Amino acid sequence: MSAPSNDGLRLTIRSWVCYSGAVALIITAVAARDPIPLFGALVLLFAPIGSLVTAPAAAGPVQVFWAESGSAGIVNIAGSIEVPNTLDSRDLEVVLPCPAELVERSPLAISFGPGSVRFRAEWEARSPALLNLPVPRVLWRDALGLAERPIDVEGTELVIERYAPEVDRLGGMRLQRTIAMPGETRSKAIGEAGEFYGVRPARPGDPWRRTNWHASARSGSRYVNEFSLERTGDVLLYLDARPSSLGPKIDHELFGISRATAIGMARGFLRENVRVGLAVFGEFVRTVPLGAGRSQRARLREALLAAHVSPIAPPAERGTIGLRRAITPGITTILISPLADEAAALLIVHLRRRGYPTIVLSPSPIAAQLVGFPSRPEDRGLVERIVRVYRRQQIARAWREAPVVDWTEFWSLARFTGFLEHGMDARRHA
Amino acid sequence: MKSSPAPGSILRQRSGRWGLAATATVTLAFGLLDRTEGPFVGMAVGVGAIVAALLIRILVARMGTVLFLAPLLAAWAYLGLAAPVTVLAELLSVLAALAALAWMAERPHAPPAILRRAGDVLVLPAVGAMIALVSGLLIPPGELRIGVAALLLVIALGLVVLTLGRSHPASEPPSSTL
Repeated sequence: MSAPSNDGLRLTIRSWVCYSGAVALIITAVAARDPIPLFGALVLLFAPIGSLVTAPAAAGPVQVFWAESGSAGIVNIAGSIEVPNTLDSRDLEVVLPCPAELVERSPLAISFGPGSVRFRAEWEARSPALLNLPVPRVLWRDALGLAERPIDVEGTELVIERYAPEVDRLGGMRLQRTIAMPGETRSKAIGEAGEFYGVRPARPGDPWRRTNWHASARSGSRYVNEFSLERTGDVLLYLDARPSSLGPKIDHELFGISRATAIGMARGFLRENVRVGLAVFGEFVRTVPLGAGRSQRARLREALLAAHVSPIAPPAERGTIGLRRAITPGITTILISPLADEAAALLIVHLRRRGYPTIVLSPSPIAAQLVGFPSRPEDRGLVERIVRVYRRQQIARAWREAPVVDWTEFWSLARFTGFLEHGMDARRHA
Repeated sequence: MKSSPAPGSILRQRSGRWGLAATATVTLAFGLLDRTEGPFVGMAVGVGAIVAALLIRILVARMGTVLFLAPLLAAWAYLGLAAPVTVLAELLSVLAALAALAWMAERPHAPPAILRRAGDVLVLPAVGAMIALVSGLLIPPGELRIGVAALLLVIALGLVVLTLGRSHPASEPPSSTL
């Protein structure tokens, strides 16, 4: 992907400061009828023109190669920019601002080499995060910083996924099945990933990656591989993206955490050949139908990256209208919702009535609510107690409809995975 | 491959050692030419301007490496008026502006060899100022000429602003159609 820059060579604010200074000196010289300040003004007037003269005729494009590393909350970005011969790498400036969801641990480090510029950023995620980093901007800038020109950059966007590590253990949980086959026998199906099952003639839309070239060569027509899926069940990840009484800032923060956890869960389930579907309920319900394999993971990630908190709060009934068309009822549904309002609990009722057995993972808004609250300890303690009592009430109300896991420590899903490992039925009987 | 410096040296980078030395030397020399209040007052003005510029560079985080020009400009205006109209004063006025621009190039996280490359940019203003200086030597000074020169400078400034305010033709994207 390329970040096009149609803007041309332009003067920076430094040039305008130089011009302002020159004008001030000229006015002084004319007012005092003294030529000496004019000579200083002359230099300041000509400096931006000198910068423009040294600008390269051809600007780019340059190629960026970058990757992210780190675990838990640590996000390290390292990359290099390959510079063509027409440009001096030392004249380039890399602009890579730290996203709002992350915190900068150290400033962007840039090193210059012949034909390349290397950069390294060290950031930290305070809570689970899923975000799309656009390609860094690259500017040509003269040595004095008086003129600049954006350079076209060719490269791919970087997706950062940080979530609780327990999602790797999600494969062991018991899920509701969608097939009418009671007992412990695993469901079998033919699909895109898993154990090799056989070959069949290719149909339009079959990916080239699945082509069996030997069989195709023998038969003279294209054949593709089929795989036997071993599924333990199906799961629907349901995200509540409606605005709440917590306010846009906290809603956005909690939805960001929900989004990151959803992609982590999807990854954990897909690794176990579980079919995963997604529903995001903002103003309307947007769904990704059940699927498995790497392509499904990419679809889910794309849908989650595009999801945001809706500006309008629709009625809870709308959250299930049309859902049955895309997602078969009867599958385990994980609803991720802060349950901030009473209306949020209504969604659980509607999901259950439509035939979706629901487990609620509820990110707690208490920590975010208390940020910047009264500094006096007694006031703060009182507010905290009231908020906790209200939260407990909300959770208790939701528990009447479905099991709820109150999620307070965002870097750990131990309580949730522990709950799932025992199974919904076991929990209910207990 | 040279790396950009560690955060600990940001303060040193903001102060900009070589540019500071050059600007201070030229401004103090300019102060010695003060014939109105005497060289000590001229030097005091120069020192005050340098200290103020240095403080702005260190204390103002983002725009410090630009705004530091303000006290220097004020000092040059005073010293220019206080100094007698001689070739040396005119030369020092030019050199002070060039030194301050070189100091402006020394900014935090600047790429290596910034001063040498700043020299390439400063060639044009230096040549322009030298031409003006030589012209000043050949043409006898007079009040009318100063006014005409200032007017020409303002017109030139306006033309430059008009020309550069528009997009550069060389950087326009190629047409998508033939």
